[in-house]
Amino acid sequence: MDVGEIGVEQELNAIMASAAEGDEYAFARIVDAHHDDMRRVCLFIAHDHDLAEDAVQNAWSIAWRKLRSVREPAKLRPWLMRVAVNETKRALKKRSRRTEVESLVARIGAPSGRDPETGIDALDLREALKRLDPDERALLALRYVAGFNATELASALGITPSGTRNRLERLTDRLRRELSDG
Amino acid sequence: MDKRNAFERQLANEIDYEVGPPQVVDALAITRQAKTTTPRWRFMTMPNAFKFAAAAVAFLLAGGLLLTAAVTAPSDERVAPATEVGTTEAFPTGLFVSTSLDDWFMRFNEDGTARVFIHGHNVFVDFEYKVEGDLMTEALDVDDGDPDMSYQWAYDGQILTMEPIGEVSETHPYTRTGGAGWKFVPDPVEVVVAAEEIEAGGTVYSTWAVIGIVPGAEVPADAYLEVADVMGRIATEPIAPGQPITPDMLEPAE
Repeated sequence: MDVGEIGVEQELNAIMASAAEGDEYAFARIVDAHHDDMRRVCLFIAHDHDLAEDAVQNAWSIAWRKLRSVREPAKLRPWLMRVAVNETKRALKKRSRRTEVESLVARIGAPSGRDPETGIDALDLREALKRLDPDERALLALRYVAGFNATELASALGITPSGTRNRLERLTDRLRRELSDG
Repeated sequence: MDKRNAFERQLANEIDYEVGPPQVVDALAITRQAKTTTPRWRFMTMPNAFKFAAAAVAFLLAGGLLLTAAVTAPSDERVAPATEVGTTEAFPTGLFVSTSLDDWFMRFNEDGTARVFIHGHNVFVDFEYKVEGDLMTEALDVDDGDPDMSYQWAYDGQILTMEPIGEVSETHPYTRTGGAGWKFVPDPVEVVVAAEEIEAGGTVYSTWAVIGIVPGAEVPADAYLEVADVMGRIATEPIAPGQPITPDMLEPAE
């Protein structure tokens, strides 16, 4: 760790400590750094804008009260994601199946057609992603939206880094095989 | 680029498309909302039809339990009094768990205050209640413009049922639970439990272990009492949600 990294970590420590003591401006800096990624992760899991927004706001309410339980700055982002993902899954569990059909509608500029390198059609991929369960979607969202590496995924999901690598590899291989066969 | 890398790139692009571009965040407003409100349950965003359906299902469940209770002897461990139905003095106090959502609890105190909360989360709503005959009226401790809600209640020594009178308000605790039936929790004990399933070999992180409420008769003598005692420990066996955590389920602390 070089001097610059030490400085950043010390600053993060100070921000977390102030936020945990109730400094709303310090807490807002944490919100500013993580909120949008949390929202996008939850949105991919839930396919429901309102539910994702509610889940993330709930996650912040929990974070406001439990932030002091996070001791290291490196654990903060995985912890926040973990709380947001849990809140999303909890909300999905309670939600009526009738409201579950709301999904992200196609937007202008959506990937379309067959990818020249994989040969997989974008629409088939989109449909396959919709069929994944919330745990699988959470794994993909944390990897590709939050950009987590295996260690961060492990911290967020509560499993070992090798376990997360295996799960991710199995999931992407399965998707690729399904879509290639189709 | 091999097929796997190409697929990962396509997958990442598709996910990026689905979640849309980053948005501007009003961090201070989000902070102030987090600070001043307890998390609101998602029943609030459900259509009214579903809420009523959920309430109806819960009522039927509670009805079944009432029928069962009618033919079985009441527990000797109860703290809340067995009661004639619907007299002011007989309204029970103590801890109750929803019969339809097993992580929702409601505690009625003798001083007329009450709290509804979700097991393992700092999600709760405080309110005051008053009882007149078979009517219980709850008033939220927030100025949200909603009228107080009244319920017709009955208690058989095990199950407290509360049927809302009039239109169901979206902001009252009862509505958020979506249930009419609440089962009395005898001799509740607070110990460390798994918030959700912990796999064997998994590390116990802060959001995985919480203080839970368990009937005293079900608590192992060596269950942990502090979350800090299990943080960062490795599970040696699968631990089910709600299960009290004991030393033999974890690798020894370093």
